[in-house]
Amino acid sequence: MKKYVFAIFLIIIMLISTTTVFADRDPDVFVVNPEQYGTIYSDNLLISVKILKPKTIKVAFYEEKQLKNDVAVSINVNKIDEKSELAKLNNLISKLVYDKETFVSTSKLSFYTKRVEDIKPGLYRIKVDTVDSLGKILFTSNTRVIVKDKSLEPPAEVSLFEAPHLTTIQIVQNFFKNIFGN
Amino acid sequence: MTKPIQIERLKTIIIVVLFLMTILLLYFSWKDSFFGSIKIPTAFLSQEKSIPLPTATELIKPNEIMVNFGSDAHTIVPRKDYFYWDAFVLEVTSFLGAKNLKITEINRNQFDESMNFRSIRIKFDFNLPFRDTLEQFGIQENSNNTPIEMFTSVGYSTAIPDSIVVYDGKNHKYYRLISDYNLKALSEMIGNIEKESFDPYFPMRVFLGIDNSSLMPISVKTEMKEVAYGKEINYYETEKIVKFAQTFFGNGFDFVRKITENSGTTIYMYGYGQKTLILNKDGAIEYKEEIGDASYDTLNYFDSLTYAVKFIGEHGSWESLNGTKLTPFLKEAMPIIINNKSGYRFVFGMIINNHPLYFDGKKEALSIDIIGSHIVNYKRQMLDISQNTLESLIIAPQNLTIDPINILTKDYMKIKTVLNVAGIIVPGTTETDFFENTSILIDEIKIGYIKTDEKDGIQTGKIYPAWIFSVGDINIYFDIFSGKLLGYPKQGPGGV
Repeated sequence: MKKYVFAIFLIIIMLISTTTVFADRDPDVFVVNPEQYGTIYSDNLLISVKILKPKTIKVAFYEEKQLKNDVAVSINVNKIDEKSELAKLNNLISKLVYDKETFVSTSKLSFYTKRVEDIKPGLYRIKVDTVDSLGKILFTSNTRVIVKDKSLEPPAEVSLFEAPHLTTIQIVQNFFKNIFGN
Repeated sequence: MTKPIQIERLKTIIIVVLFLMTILLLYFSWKDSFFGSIKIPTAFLSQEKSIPLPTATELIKPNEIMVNFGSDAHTIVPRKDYFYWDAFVLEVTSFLGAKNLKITEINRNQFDESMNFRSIRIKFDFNLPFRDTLEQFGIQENSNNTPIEMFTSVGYSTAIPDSIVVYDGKNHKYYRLISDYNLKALSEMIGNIEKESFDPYFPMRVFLGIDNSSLMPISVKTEMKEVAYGKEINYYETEKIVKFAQTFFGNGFDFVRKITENSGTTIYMYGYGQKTLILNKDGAIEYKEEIGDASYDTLNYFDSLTYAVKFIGEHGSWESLNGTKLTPFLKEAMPIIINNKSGYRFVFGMIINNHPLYFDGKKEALSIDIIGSHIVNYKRQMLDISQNTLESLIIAPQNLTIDPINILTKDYMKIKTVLNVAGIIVPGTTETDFFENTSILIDEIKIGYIKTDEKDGIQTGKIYPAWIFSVGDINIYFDIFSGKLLGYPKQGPGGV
């Protein structure tokens, strides 16, 4: 019984902690792409952020690295690619991939877009800060994305391409169409 | 006795000489008006210089070659690199000619899904007859009885590396073709294209989070700039007008009336309007022939195209009347029926420095309706651009365009208005609704030159580089650098 109570307590704590993380997200700023813990099989990525009010945002793109023997190494996402597993990782160090960019939106609807090229397999994080005119951070959101080598892209499901063969009626129809036209 | 005989003989010779001279004089005085009127019209300029006619394979080029590198990263191959199309055709030729060619019908989901992997998709703006096109391209197809009637799109996907997929836009059917031929070269082609630094494109859903897989680029670098042009024929160029009209009516203009309107429009009319040639002040030309009750032979697609190409060559040529050389391409081809007689309409566009030229409104560079081997309507509005200007475009410095996403966020309400007037109602109650529902409708975002009818009420004599947002056959044009709205359909469907 105690185990169940502990489990429920743990779940509640996790839910609260999640809520706390997302409470800091600006309700007018959304990371459209990539999706949280989405996987891409490519060496380039499009970051798209939707902004619904005139605001200033700062966007940073980090690689999450793991400390192993005091050396920061890329996370082997071929071994660990489950969101829950990745979330458990500790000793993470964030390395900026390119300098933070500031984007000023002056309209009620705008998009910040950035194409990041030549990215190596690993775990990455997009951090979007909403700042005021003095540069003070008002809101922050973090989106993590798993980047894998394009050669590891799973093949198409064979069943999807098991096309139905032409029925006898279709073959006969086509035969007459070819002779007499439509 | 001898003398009178000699005089008589001399008289006979003189009469014969005079008779022959009369015939010769009559020939010289009548030959232009008589023989000229019955001879087959020859090329407008071909008597001065020979302008080669474009071949069907030169005219039939894809509207787009879309390449998917996986994980939503795409590109569209620029026209200057269409040798990839030629290489694709070569591979397909070998593929279709190989043993054990099997054709099966698939569904749209299977076609689309295959294109979601690393793939190449060749897209035409019109339907092509499958078997006739193979013949035209010299492709030997090795199936006994193909069910494919037309094709609009052809694709190769690494997800099904032994296959070619085909979309028949006329019958809305999808096919998968499999043969013994190894298509490894197409897979390598995707890799080669990936190494090129072509502009990146992503599906709109990636940018905007909406359900639309049409491709959208980020800003691109382009050498495009405003280009000055002139009309190929002006209303005051009487001699040129007459010479052009002679290609339709012969040199004698027998039974042809000429009407010059106050507006500057010149009309030539044969008989009671059986044949009419209208030369408008704005440089647009239209030739019409009434279609009679006589029976007309029915020509297939490529024979009709050949006739159309020849007719244009003989009536104004494939260059402007002053010799501007642009690259023509087949933009539209559709079956037509006039007075229960069937034929085709071919519309030809022009490429300026690897970018297609669009006309604001319903005009086109060249358009021709053909019933059998009989031309019933021919429109042309070719532009005169100096050779120096064309050459300067090639070496012009590159500038960064505005992001099309910024045009969309700024002007989605203008696009919505154009669509509403065209009868496409964009649903929604909030601005966010209107933005998303307008964006969902966008089929294509492309680059080209636009010739506007007028700018701020004045004919500018310039064509402008533009982002073109297409919804079906409605094109809305925005300045490629400033994002300013340049044009949209003003008459008929899509007119505002």
